[in-house]
Amino acid sequence: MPAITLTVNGRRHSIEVPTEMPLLWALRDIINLTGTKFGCGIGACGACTVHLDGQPVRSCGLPVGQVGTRRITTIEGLAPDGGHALQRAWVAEDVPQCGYCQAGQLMSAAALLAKTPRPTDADIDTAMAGNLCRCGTYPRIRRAIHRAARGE
Amino acid sequence: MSAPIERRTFIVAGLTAAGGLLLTVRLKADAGLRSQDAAEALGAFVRIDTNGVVTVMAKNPEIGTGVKTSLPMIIAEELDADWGKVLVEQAPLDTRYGDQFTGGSTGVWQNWDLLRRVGATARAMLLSAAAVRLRVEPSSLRTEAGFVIHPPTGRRLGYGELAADAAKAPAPTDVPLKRSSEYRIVGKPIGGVDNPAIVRGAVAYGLDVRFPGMLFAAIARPPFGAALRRYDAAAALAVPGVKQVIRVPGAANRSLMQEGVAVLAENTWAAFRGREALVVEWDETASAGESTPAIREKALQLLARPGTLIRSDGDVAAGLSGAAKVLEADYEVPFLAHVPMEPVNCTAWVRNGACTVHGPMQNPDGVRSIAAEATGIPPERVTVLMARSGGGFGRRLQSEYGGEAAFLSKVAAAPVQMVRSREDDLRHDLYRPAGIHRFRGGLDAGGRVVAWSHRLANTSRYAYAGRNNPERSELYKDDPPAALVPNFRLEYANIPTAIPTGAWRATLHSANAFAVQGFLDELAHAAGKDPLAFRLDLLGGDRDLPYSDHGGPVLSTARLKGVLRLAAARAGWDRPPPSGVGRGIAAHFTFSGYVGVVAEVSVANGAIRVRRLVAAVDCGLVVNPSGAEGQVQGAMLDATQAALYGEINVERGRVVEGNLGQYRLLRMSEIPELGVHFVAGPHPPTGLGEPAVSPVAPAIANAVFALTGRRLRRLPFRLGAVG
Ligand code: FES
Ligand code: FES
Repeated sequence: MPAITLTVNGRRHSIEVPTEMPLLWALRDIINLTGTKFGCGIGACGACTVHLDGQPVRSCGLPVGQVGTRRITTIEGLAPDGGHALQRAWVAEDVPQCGYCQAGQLMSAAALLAKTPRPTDADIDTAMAGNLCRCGTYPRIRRAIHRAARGE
Repeated sequence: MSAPIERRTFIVAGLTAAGGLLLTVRLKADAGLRSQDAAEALGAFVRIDTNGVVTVMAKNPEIGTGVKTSLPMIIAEELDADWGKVLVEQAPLDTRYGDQFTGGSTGVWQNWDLLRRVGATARAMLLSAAAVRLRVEPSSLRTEAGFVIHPPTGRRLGYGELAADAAKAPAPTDVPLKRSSEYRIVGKPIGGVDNPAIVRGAVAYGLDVRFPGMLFAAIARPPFGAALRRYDAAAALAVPGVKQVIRVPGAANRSLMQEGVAVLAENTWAAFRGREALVVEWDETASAGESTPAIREKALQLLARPGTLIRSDGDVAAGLSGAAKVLEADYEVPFLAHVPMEPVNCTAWVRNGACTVHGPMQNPDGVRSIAAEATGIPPERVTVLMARSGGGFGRRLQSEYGGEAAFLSKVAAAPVQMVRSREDDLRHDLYRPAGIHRFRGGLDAGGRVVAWSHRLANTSRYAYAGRNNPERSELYKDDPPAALVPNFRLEYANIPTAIPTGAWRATLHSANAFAVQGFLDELAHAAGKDPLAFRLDLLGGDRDLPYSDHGGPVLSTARLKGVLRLAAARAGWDRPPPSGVGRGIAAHFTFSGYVGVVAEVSVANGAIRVRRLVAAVDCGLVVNPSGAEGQVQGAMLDATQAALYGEINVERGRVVEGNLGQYRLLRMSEIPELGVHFVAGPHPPTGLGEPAVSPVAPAIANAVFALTGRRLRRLPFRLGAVG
């Protein structure tokens, strides 16, 4: 197997895995960054959302061989000190219940705010449509996104 | 519950390694069972270090219900700690912590007295130490946010400065508890203690547990009731990364461990691919007939004749024949999956005759005994560590997955993480039982309910687990309108099946309340009465009724009426809904909590849109308003998604729905406006993981009836197929 080089949160990792291995499992089981979560494996829940050059993607459906030179950002690299406006808003609004979906929710929300700094409820519904929360934290996710957008 | 806990526990003090105060609780064994000498020391509940940091152990597993925050808040309150300096650590399973269990909404109410006493004892010891140090009367001192203060002189001593002295004295036995008006932490909205780590992706859930050299396992599982005929491991072993293929034997009791074939690999993806490549043949003789249509047919057959009598008051036959109006209806509920966001998994490491199990769980004690059974290792050599769980909803009360991981680790001679794909999780769940409720209700000329007959045929989860009294898990004999109708009869029949069933959030209340509160609404409309007024009349005067199931021993009609009235008031029940909107109401008591819900719905293109849900909740004192509101919001959304979409279908012993594409959950854009209102009352706190689930589906169905005149008698709701 030829080595594949991935740039994750600014660090380069050289890994030897089949090129078809989904990025999710390369991150979790090979590079040992377990903040990105497995929920469905078929792109239906959003728990595995990461950024590729700032764009949100479902890492469970993306073969590592197709990442190329794009920069990968995971929840661990969103703001390593937890100081992203969204991370602070999530804590302020006490969003998590089980918390399992929240890494994916935050990555989708961060991509939204990067493009649309003051999103409407409709913008939020669209951007967050692929992220399920089994615990039903949606009302607080919405509030936290608005809070972060206000710069609080 | 305070009395039994009071008798069984006492608190002792000790020194931490660094010389601070360590508070421990001793469990006095039940006198009848063991001598007092056998009293066991509980692990440390509270540690106060000399630097003032207070560490509180979270005794129960955290699955998203907030007990890792709310239980330590109770200790910190009585201790008068500075919440900003409190660290919370997850305790391991240890008999010395007493019951460690997250289920049945029991966390807060079962621990309320014990944890208050732990905190108050520590505070009393710090006060005594301060009195000696300052040479003043203890009664002249008070405490505030981590300090003992002597108001006459203004002197202040931090808990850290006092911890070492406090640890030298024996723990007092009778400590005063605060009045609720003195609370500074309990009753304040406090964020989850793990939140800062969760938002950084730094919390280890079950799937994030890592042991050196760990293998990942995926198990091929049979159709329900089928047996393994043969398998060929060659193709699986040819997948890069696959290391071993291991046959998993079934336990005699199928609810403990099911037969299967496991593929173990270096990473999860290789394990999944290896499992796909595995060639397995099942003997499907016994499973071929297992299907949801067959269950339905069987239910209808059973309903045609009398079932096991659960309760009989008065004379239902006479009541019905004397009634001015008689209504009959069948209500049908499907199998329902748990779908915790983190699929079922567990990690185990068997070595040197001992076993460590680390995973997401609701019932760590169950995990220990199943791991012991699956490995032959004595329970006292099984260490159980609780990872934060990505949801539970009752799924992780069944601990068979812990046995699978432990068994595989033993055979593979390596640490093993057993991972279920979402498909495995959905297709090999222990479902909420499916069945049909048959009602007959009689109204007198004044529109009062004079007779109520309720017969249920379903797939009992106790029967699945091989337990006696299959009806006990399915139909609850004191549920209203029991004791409110003079002629009342409950009957039950079990449908034997190999389709696994288990406890789903709020157990079967979540299904039964849909049926009962829906049929009650039919009677209200048939009587020509307002559904709220009808329910209030039925409940009658204020009194406590005996209640023998979840959350008893009594049900207060006053509190149930209270939540009906409050939900109605907050929803504007007196004013007509906006045009195109229907409004419905329902209320239910379970797990000591009273919840009334008003739903507002509209219908467009044949689809129901739930626009608004207003809940009134009486769970006694609210320990953490932020967590409590979240639990009620989540329970209402959970019930809504189950009512609109939740359904598991079985054909030839296999589940049809495979993943979240077919098994729908609510999305952000679909959520209704949510109102959550707590009744301020004098009662001690009770749990909130479940109570708000049950009244939601009937409130929605009743609202759809108000809007369209169509009565929804089947879950999930389909407007095209109105019963
Ligand atoms: S795990 Fe990737 S979308 Fe669900
Ligand atoms: S917080 Fe549990 S799934 Fe979202």
